[in-house]
Amino acid sequence: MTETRWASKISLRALPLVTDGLDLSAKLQTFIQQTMNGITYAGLLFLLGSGFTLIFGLMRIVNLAHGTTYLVGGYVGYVVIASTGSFVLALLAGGGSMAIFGAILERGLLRPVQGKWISELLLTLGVSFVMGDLALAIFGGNPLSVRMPGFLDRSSLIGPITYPNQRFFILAVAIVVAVVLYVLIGRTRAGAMIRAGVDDQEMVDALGIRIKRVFTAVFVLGAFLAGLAGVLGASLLTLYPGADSEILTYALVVVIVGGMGSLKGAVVGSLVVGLLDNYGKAYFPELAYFSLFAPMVLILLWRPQGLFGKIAA
Amino acid sequence: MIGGAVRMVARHSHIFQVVAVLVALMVAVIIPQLGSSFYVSLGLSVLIYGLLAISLDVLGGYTGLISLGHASFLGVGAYGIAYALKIGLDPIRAIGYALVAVIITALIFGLVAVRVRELTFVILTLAMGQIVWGLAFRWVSVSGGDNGLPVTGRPSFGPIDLGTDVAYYYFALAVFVVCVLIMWLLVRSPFGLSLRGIRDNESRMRMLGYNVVVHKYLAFIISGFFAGISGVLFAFYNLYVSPTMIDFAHNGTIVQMVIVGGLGTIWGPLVGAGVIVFFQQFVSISVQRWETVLGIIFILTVLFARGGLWGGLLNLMTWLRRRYGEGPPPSSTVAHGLSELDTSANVAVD
Amino acid sequence: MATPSESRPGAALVPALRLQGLYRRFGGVTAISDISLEVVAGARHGIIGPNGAGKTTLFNVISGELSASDGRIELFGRNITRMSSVRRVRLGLGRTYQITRTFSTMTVRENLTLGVNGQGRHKFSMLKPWRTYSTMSAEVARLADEFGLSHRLDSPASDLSHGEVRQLEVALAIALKPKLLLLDEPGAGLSPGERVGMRALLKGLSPDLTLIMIEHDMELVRDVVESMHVLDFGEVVADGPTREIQSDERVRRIYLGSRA
Repeated sequence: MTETRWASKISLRALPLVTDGLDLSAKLQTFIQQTMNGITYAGLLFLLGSGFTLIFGLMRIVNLAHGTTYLVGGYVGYVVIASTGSFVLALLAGGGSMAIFGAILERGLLRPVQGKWISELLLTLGVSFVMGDLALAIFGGNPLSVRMPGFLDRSSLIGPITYPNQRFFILAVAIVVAVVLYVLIGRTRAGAMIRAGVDDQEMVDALGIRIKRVFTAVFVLGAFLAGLAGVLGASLLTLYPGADSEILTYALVVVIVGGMGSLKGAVVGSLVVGLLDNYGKAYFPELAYFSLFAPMVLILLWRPQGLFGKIAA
Repeated sequence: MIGGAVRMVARHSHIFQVVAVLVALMVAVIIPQLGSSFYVSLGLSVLIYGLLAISLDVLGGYTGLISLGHASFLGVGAYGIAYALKIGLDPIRAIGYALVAVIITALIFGLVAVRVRELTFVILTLAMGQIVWGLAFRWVSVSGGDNGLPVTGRPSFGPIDLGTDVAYYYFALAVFVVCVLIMWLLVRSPFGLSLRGIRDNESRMRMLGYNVVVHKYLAFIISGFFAGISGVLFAFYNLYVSPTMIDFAHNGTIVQMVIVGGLGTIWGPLVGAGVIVFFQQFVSISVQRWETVLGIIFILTVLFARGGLWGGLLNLMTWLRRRYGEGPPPSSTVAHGLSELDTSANVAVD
Repeated sequence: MATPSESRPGAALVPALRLQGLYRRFGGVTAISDISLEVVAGARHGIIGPNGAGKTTLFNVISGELSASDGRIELFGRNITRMSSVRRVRLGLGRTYQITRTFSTMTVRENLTLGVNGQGRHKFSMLKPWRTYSTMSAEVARLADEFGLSHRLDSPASDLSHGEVRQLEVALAIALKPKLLLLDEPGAGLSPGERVGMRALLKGLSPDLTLIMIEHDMELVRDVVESMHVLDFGEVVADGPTREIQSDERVRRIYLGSRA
């Protein structure tokens, strides 16, 4: 009889330890989940931030229409999937349509005011207004989303955690793009011109006519990536009027933290912003935006050019 | 006949601004007497957003720091009122509470904002505007989140009751006139001249012994303060505050008002506010895509009409003066608008 | 006329400007290296050398617009090496720029008012229109008269001829009543006639003022400057009275060897 009483006493004492252990593992799981959310979100942000930082680094243009490009690209992808069912086609259409739009915008509207950064900035602001309103007219105000095909729509078991494959896919796309951009910028002649231009605007001017083609190419590339990101964002998040300014803010913080004109900075900045945003939303939901603001302000005060930028803010 | 009339306008072009302002003031005073509450609320919108836009012009047009987050000050002022009333303060104390909140916000934001170059300033203020909006959205316990907060009463000054919209309109008009008068004096003062110098050539100003950061900080705080007053006026007028009033679209709209109306002219932004309110209330009835039209007008203004509507009018007066041989105008009537910022010797980067 | 350094006992020992071992590096490039010199109060001193020799960089370091990588700067005996430009200006430093930096959207009157206000008490006055300050206007009128710009007071600075802009450039610096004035190529781009005017202007500056001038124009230099330093590749290669430098064989070779 004494043994059973001992056993029950021990088991009663042990119970809190077991449940605490379960609690701890749940908290750990949440943390891991949030971390992975942050990293995959960072992938999406990198697609936007990389284009933005290149456009700024080379042409000193703050493209405030970048968020709207994301949104409209996503809408285009939505329409393509709805009519053809092909996700790949949607990705290409979303990116491609925005690439064409980017070319028209850069050559038609921004060229005449080249060098006047305030006018360029205000023009992109105006374009974002017009695009946003037209998008509202065409696609309506209801949130739209997209589902990825096949196994991407499912989740995988990673250790104790089930994680959606679509997030891995977005991260994979971001990594591929990062590698391609690294090769493009680091190893090609056009890339050398871009790097030179980011470093020294005067040299860019001295190079003359040829550089204008690179300008257009960079702008088009940025727009393509934004449109592509829009289609991916349509599955990860949703598309709705106002999503453009929200994601634009994130892209701006990424670029300020990482440094204007630096691809490495875009990678690091995306990670910082993605992680902090997710942790903030998970652990301090009411003050979530502060987790974004604080590092940006600290970076600006300590290193005005961002972590890897060469151009002082 | 027409030639004679034009000549007369040219001869008196230097008082054109004064006459225009007086006429506008008379119109503003008469509006409520027309009997329609629609026009009263229209007038109130123009006054409130006009005040906000003019305060932005002091920062953007005169100091060269264009803020894409200025509506956040309206937000702090308006939410300040709503929250103060919620926690039991009476309307008059609520005004003090809200204005203190606005000043503290300006002090904090300004610390970072004025140390960076103009380009980063624009981006930073955009982010700041989003942060205030985000707080209004998420800090549900304070701001009511998506649902917003009601404003439970209007201030009363002794026997003057502002319960009716007409009475409130005259109150707002009085506040507006005082505020704009102060800002008008400010830009004509030595301090205002220094601000324009900073806009034009910041490094030279430093080598002339001006502490540029202090000047910018003051301009930021003063501009934010008057923007906060517009928020107070807004809260008591609308009797309701919500995050949509300070989202990115609204921040952009204020910039539109300043540019389309005329950057750097004090009265231009008021004209801009009038134009945009006109579009919102009248054009929207017949043209569904009025926002697209406004956006296109904005783009065209940036490309071709750098001084905006008011600036263009002032320059026309100047041209008439020259054409009819009246001699060069005092520089205050020459409006370059955006061109002043573009020719600024402050290189954006490097 | 006795210079102030002679009339005040002990003051003659404090040079207006002393540089010790001054360096400025940009990444891997050393723009100025090991520059040491002294300029006596009231002196008229020149800095000459071929393009790219580091003259303007030297001025930028003295004015505080660039920080020194190494070395020491003393202004009237005070160590200003780590001071901001604004503080250096308050201690009596002034400068003009080779590429003029006037306020192009503002009138000449507004330009000069900004200059006059720089050390004035009214910078932060916010309620009275600036035109109503009579002491300010009087000072502006006086300056305009001294620099031959009275007839252009209400013209926008962008309307001025190149010679007039250069005059405004100097006037802006003088408005501050500096004790040491750095002039960066005041004669650049001037026609021969305008140069005569500039020469007269510079010679007419107060003898209390210490002048250090960068210039390529030898005529201007010969007339205005009493002694000079020669810079090449960021280093001092010669110094002494004007006449000596002008007949120095090395200096002539430096100028003939590179495009001046």
